[in-house]
Amino acid sequence: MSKLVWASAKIRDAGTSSGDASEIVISNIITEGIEFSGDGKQTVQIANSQDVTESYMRGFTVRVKGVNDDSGTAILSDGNVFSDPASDTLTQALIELQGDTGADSVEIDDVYIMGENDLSNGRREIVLSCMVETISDSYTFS
Amino acid sequence: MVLLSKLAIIEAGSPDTVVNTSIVLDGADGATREGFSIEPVDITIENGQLYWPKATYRLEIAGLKGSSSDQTQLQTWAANGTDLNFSGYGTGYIFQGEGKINADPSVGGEAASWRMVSQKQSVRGYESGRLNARMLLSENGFNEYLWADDDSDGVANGWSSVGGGTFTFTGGNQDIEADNETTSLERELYFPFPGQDLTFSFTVDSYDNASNLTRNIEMEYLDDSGSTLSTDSDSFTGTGLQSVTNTVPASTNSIIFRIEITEGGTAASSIAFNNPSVRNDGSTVYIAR
Repeated sequence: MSKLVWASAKIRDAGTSSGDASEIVISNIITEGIEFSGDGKQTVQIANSQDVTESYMRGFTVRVKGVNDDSGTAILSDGNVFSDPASDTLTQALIELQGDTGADSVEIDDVYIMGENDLSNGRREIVLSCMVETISDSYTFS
Repeated sequence: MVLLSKLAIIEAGSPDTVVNTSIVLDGADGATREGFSIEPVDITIENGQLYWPKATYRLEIAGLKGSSSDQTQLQTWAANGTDLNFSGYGTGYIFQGEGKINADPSVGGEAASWRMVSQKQSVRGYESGRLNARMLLSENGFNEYLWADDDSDGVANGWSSVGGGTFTFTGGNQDIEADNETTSLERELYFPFPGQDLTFSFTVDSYDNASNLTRNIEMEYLDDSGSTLSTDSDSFTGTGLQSVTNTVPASTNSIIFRIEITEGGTAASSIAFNNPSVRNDGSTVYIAR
């Protein structure tokens, strides 16, 4: 059985591959702060009372200790993270949770990624969150 | 939420009216929920996606009961909806803000204390280089403004040019040229906390020392009437990180942070620098937001 053990988060332009020029890497993710949700959203009952799931809710919430990515740039200044409603255009992006050695990575593409300072744990963290309803399973494991 | 150690409330336009308090962390009713918090407002848009257009910024503290005049002042501010400035600090954080308060002059518990709440909803992030919420908790106390020049006046957002000279902002660097004059870039912050150490730093990218250029990094301390108490001034040379750590003297209400150059009259000289920072944890690591 594959395992999910996270080493870092990556964010880049939608539809691009790992290593794309737009990619930022964030290593100080807080393991306990990762929410990786998957729920059947829309179901319909058909013959013999069988349930068929027609759409799914997929999303990540990632907490980061510190405010910069691995290159030292503020995470909230990344163009793929929606952090400045006054000036930024809402653009879809890709977020990948990078698995540790021997573990799976998982990504979700074409999603709005919200970012903000979060103080709820008594320190300054960055919280990144996204959620999307899709017809097919939008998580990609590798 | 993040706890603060101290908070000062300063009346906008009347900086000699200050209430400075120690924050009660335990022993006053509701002390466990105090501090500063940011809660994004969730909106669901297309395909069930999250959208955070704004957030709720909330400062809630219980302060040790001080003089009766302080209690009267708090009630007056609350009743009149007076515009106020906030200055505070916690462990490794500096807090700066603006707002109004709702105050309860007496709350129960083991210590004689009072309670204050200042809450607002605001568009998140920065607009025209300034934090929309006007409530900042950051490692870098300068971060109410982004280090950029949104109005293209040649001077970094939130900073002031003083004493002539030529100011341009290019490629993330503030360039200052002086020709037979003294000129400086300045920024004033409320910080009425004597005894606290502050580390002021920036990075010099390049300089043109054509005429025996003198360069100083300064912290000028002002009292509540705006008069200078004292100035810590240190010279610097070369490129790279420059920093000083100074202790805030007694009676300080605000501090002017200054990068000053003087050219003696032979030929115009200049300096280019970036990433100014003021921190209360001794670090010189630059935090941009």
